[in-house]
Amino acid sequence: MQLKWGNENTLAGWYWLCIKILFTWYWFLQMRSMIRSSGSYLYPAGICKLYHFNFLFTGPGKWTLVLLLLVCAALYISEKRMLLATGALTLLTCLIISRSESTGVLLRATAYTPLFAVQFIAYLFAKFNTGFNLAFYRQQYAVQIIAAIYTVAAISKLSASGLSWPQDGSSLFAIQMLKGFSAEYFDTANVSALQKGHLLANGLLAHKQELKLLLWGSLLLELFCFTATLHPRLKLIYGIALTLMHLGIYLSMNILIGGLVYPMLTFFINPLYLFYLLIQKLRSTTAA
Amino acid sequence: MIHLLNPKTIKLIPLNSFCKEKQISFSLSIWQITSLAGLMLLIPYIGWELFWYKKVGMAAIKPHTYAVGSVVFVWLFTIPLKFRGFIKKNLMIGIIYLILCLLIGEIHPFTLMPMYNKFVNYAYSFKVTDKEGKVIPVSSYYSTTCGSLAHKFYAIAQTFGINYGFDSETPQELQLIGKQLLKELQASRKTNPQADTIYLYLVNHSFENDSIVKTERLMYAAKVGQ
Repeated sequence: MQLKWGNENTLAGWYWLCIKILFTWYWFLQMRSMIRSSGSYLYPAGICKLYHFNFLFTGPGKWTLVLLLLVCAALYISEKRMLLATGALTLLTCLIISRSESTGVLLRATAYTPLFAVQFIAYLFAKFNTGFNLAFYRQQYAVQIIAAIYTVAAISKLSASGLSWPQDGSSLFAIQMLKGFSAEYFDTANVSALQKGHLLANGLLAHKQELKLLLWGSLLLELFCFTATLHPRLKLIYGIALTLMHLGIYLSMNILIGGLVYPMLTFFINPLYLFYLLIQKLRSTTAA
Repeated sequence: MIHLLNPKTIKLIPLNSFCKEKQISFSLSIWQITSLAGLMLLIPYIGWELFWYKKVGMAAIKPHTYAVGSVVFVWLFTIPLKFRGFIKKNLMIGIIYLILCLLIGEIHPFTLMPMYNKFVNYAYSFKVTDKEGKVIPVSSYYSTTCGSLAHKFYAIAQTFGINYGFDSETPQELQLIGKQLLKELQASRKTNPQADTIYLYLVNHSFENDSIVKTERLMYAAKVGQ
């Protein structure tokens, strides 16, 4: 069934709207922080290799950029002029992330650009192919991109360390963990961060086998992430498993890769939609 | 005879009667048989290629690698419609992006996700102190974090062509990077810290003889506001 572009008042429509709201929210916060901290230019990265775009990162340039982002985000959420909106969002996101990476700070927000790009592709296909199931593919393409990124992460680990990655990690993970908590201490001068880091690091060194198992689990989870694209239920299960993995990384290493975690949460679990369903259920229970 | 476990009755039933009951046919087209045989050869081939790639790097990529890659690519586009539909629906865009990432590398919007792909026996963090060695909390006085300083450290080292890691940097190299890092830090100043001079240290944690060892090296010192 061909879907008309618009936020139709159906469950599928609400599902998509919740994805867009949540995704845009995280995306905008990250873009704003990147625009704000776009300091000195160390070396050109990404699209900035072609042109530096310095004029966009001056005082008035930054405001213009934020305004443009807001206009495009409003069009995107209200499902208006989607080809223009997703196309512009792809280019602007690519530009902002490239510029941010040119400062030497890698915030690992790579996922945002291809996620907008594949939505643009889905809307483009829908424009030229009337039988194209837009309602399905605009989400499915995004899920595939996220799965691809996790799979790349696993391939990267296997190619750099081979199958010994979990074994190496069982000893050396502790110092990376300590680094994370030391950085928090040097940021805040809060001694408890350092104490927590030492406590956790010593705990891990005492449980190397368990850590090795966990690392194996996370490697396999990443490697077979394409499984999530096969069925909505698998996607949800995978989403929960990946969330737990990221929660573990956050608690143990004090690292949150927001540029990947938030899109994954949005497209795999869609918590805002679950919340919407809960409200609907509570409403119907109260009415009955 | 092949048996299946029937979940309803918890009894082993012969595979052929199960198939009859469920009306499952096992006919495979010539194309599917060829594909399965091809895959059986492809998997050890990929393993072999990966092994050599790990050993000798790009030298492992030979004309036959491209030839096999091309055949696989053509195969993906010529597979029967039903299976092609399955791949198109569930995997195609993701696989294209994955291949582009592996080919292009760490150039946005592509990535190799290199963080923690190798556990190394060093972990650098950066601390800013006053003359007495008291920690100056970076996020209170500057709109940056020690994590960002670490990213910049690696970027600056790469720009200067300095090999980093394992405490291998010379004092001169550390001074060169430290000067640049402190310049970046001062440029992001929110308010002046209560010190005349700030000192930037490189802190390293490493793993030796089953215990964690910490070292600190002074990188650079600069007057506040300079």
